[in-house]
Amino acid sequence: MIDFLCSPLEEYVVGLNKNLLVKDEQNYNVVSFENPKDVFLLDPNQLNQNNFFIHPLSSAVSSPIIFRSTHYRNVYNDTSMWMKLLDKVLTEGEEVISGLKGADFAEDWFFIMKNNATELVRTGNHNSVVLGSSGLSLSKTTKGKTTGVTSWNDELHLSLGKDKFLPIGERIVENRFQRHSSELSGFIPIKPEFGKLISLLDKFINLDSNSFFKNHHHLYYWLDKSLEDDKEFFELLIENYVRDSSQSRTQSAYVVIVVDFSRKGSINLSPLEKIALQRIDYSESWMLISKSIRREPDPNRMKQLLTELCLQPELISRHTDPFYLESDTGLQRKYFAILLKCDVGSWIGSRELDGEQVMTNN
Amino acid sequence: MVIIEITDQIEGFIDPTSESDSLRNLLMSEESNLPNLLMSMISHQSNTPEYKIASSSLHNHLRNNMRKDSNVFLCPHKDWFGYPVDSEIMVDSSVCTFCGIKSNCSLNRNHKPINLVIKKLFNHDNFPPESELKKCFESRSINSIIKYDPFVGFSLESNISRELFVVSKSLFEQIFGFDKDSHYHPTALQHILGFEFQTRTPIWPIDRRFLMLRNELSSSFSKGFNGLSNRESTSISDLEFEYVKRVSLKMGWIDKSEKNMYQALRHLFSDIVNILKGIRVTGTVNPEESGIIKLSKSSMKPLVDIPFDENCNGIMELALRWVILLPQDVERYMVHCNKYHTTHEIKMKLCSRIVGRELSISDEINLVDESKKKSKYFPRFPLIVITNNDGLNAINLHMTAGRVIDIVIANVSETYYLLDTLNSDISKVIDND
Repeated sequence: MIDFLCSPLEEYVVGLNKNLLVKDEQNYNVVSFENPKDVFLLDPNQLNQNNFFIHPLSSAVSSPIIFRSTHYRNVYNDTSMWMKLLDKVLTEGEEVISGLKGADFAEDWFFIMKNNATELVRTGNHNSVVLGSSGLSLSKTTKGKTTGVTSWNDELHLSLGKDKFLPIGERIVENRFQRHSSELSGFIPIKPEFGKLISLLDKFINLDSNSFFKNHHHLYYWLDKSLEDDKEFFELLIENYVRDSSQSRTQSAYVVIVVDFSRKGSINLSPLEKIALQRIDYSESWMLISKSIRREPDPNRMKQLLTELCLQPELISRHTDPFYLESDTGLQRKYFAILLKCDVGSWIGSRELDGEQVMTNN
Repeated sequence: MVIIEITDQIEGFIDPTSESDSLRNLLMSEESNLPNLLMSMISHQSNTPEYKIASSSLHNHLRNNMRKDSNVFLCPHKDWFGYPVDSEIMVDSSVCTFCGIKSNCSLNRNHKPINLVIKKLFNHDNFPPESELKKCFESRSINSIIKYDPFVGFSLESNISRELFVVSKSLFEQIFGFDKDSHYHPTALQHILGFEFQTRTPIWPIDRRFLMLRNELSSSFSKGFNGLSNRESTSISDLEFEYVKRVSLKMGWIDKSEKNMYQALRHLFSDIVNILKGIRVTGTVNPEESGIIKLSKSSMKPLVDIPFDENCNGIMELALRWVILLPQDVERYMVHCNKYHTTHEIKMKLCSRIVGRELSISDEINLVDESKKKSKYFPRFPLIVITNNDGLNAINLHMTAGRVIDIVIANVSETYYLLDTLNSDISKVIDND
C-alpha cells in the first residue's frame, strides 16, 4: 500500500530531476524506511543528496533523532566545504577589524560570527549568513542619501556584533529594485583595505548554496488497510504535500493519514502509533476529501473516525482547511487524507536558533 | 556505570600505525626530502608563517609520494595548506601522520574512540541491564551493526567522550513533575527551551531573551518599581485587556463569574506595561531600538515563541510572560504599587493566584532573602525512553524537563530515561535542594 504514496512521489521526482540544470548529486531520491534506525544504515553519500524519506507512522516516535541525525551528520556539519569557504571571508574580516579595533576584538569577532553563521546554517537560513537584517548576518545594506531623481545610494555595513556596524562600501543604484535584492554587486570600498573583504562577500553570496546544502523531507504515513489505489486521489495528495513540504523549504516533516470513509469496523492503532500521534503539530494542516464524501457529508462519522485515530477533532476543525477532489474520472472511493506537521525537535522556523542548548551557553 | 565505545568511522581511513612499512620505506628512501622538511617544520613555532610553509611543503611532498594502492580520502583542511578551495585534495594515512595541524584536524579527532560513560542520575535509583542500554546506541541490519551517538544535533558535546545519565521514569517525574504543563497547548510544549527548577516554570524562546534583559537592566527595572506610587498608569486598550482576560482565564487566575476581578486585572497589567515601556538602556541614542522595546517588536509566533495559541502586541506578551516567569517581581510590584487604589485588595488576591501562594496585605513581604529565591535555569534535556511493551501506554512525549527524541523497546522491568544533561550541573542542584 505504501506504493500508493511512493509511486506518485517517484513520478514527481523523476520530473523534477529532469528539469534540474545541474549535476547528478542535486538529484532527488525517494527512500522508504521500515524502521526508524534505518536512517543510520544509509550510505553517507546518499544522505548527502536531496531526499524524500518515507516512514511508517510508528517511526514518528523517533522523529527528532531521525531528523537531526540526517540534518547534522552529513548535511550541516561544521567541516562542510561551505563552512570552510566561510572561514576565508571571516579571516579577511578579522584582518580588517584587527587594524581598526585591535587583535583581541577581531579574534572575538571571528568566533562570534562563526557561531552565528553555524546557527543560521543549522536552522536552514544559510541564505542569510552574508546579508540579512536579523543581526546575526555578517553584513547589511542600508539606504543612503538619495543622489538624484533616477539613482539611489546604498551603503554596505559589516556587523561588529551587539548591533554595531562598520560602513565598508557604497554603491549607486540605478534601479530601485536592486536595493531589495540579495546581491552585493557594485559596492565600492569606502577605504582601499575593505576591497578584498567586499569582493569575498560578493563571491560568497553568489555561491550556489543549494549545491552545498541538501534537502531532506520526511513523510510519516498511516494508510487504512481497506484502501485501494485511487490514482487521482493519491496524485493530488502528493502534489499538495510536495508543494507544502519542499517548494519553499529545505527540510520538513509531516504525518499523512489516509482513511477509507466507508470502512467497516473501528480503527485500532498500535501503542507506538498512538505515541507517534503525540508528535502532531495541529497548527499546520489540511485535509483532502474525495468528491463522493462531499455529496454525502456526515460530520458525525468524520468525528468518530478522527477520534478512533486518536486525533483531536476540535483542533482539526479549528486549524485544518479542507479541500475536495473535484474530478469525476477517478475511482471515486470515499477517502479522506489529513496532512499534519510533525514535530521533529528542530528549531527551524523559530526565532530561537539552537534550541535548548542556548540554555547552557548563556 | 556502563561505558559505550563509539568510533566515528571515516571511509578509507586506516590507522597510520598499521601502515608502518610504507612509512619506513618513505623515510629511508634516498630521494626522499622528508627528513629535511620534517626538521624544518618542527624547528619553528606552530603559529609562525615558517611553520605553515614547511608543513605545506611536507604535505605536498608526501602527497606526491603516496602509494598507488593506499586508501585515500579527502583532506578537510586543504585551504590551510594553500590548495585552491574548489579542488579535491586526496590524502592517505602517511600524509596525515606528518600533518602540521593533525591535533586540530577533525579527521584525526573523529577517528579517536568516543567513550560514553553512562551513570545513574541518582545513586539510590535502579539501572537497566547493560545489554539493553546498548540498544540506544546502535542500529542493526542483516549484515552490520552501526554504532552512533544518539545526541548528535542535540548536544554541542555530541561525538565527544562524556557522561550520560540514566534515571527511572518514576523518579524523574517525582523530581521534575510539572503540574503547570496542563495549562498549555501540546504544540506549545514542543517548543520549550528549558525550565526554572524551583518554580517548575517552562521557558519559551521569548522568555529567555526577556530574562536576559531583566538581568542586564535590573537598575532600570528597580526605577520602574520605585516610580509606581508616584504616577497614574496609562490604561491598556480594550483590545489588550480582552486578550489579557482570555489568558488569565486559561491560566486560572480569574473565573468567568468574577467580574469584580476585571478592574484589578486591568489596573495590574496597565502598571506592568507602563514599567516595561519605561525601561531604558543607558547610553543608547535611540531607546526605540534597544532593550525591551526592541524585544517587543520581534516576532512572537503563537505556540512557538510564546505558549499561547493567539497573540497580542509585543509589550502585552512580555507583560504576561514577566508575571509568570518572575513571581518575585509580582511581589515586588505589590510592595511598590499604589496601596490606596480602589482595586488594591482585589489586586492582592489576584497576585496571590498568579504567584501561586497567599500574599499578605502588608509592606513586609520578604524581598530580602534573595538567595533562597535565586532562579536556577536548566535546558530541556534531550532523552531516550527505554521501556518494555507494557510501559508504552504511559509514555508522554510532552514534558517540560525533557524532550523525548527516541523510544527504545527493551527487556527492562521498568521505564528509564537516558539523558544528556547538556553540560548542566543538575545533579548538584538536586542534591542541594
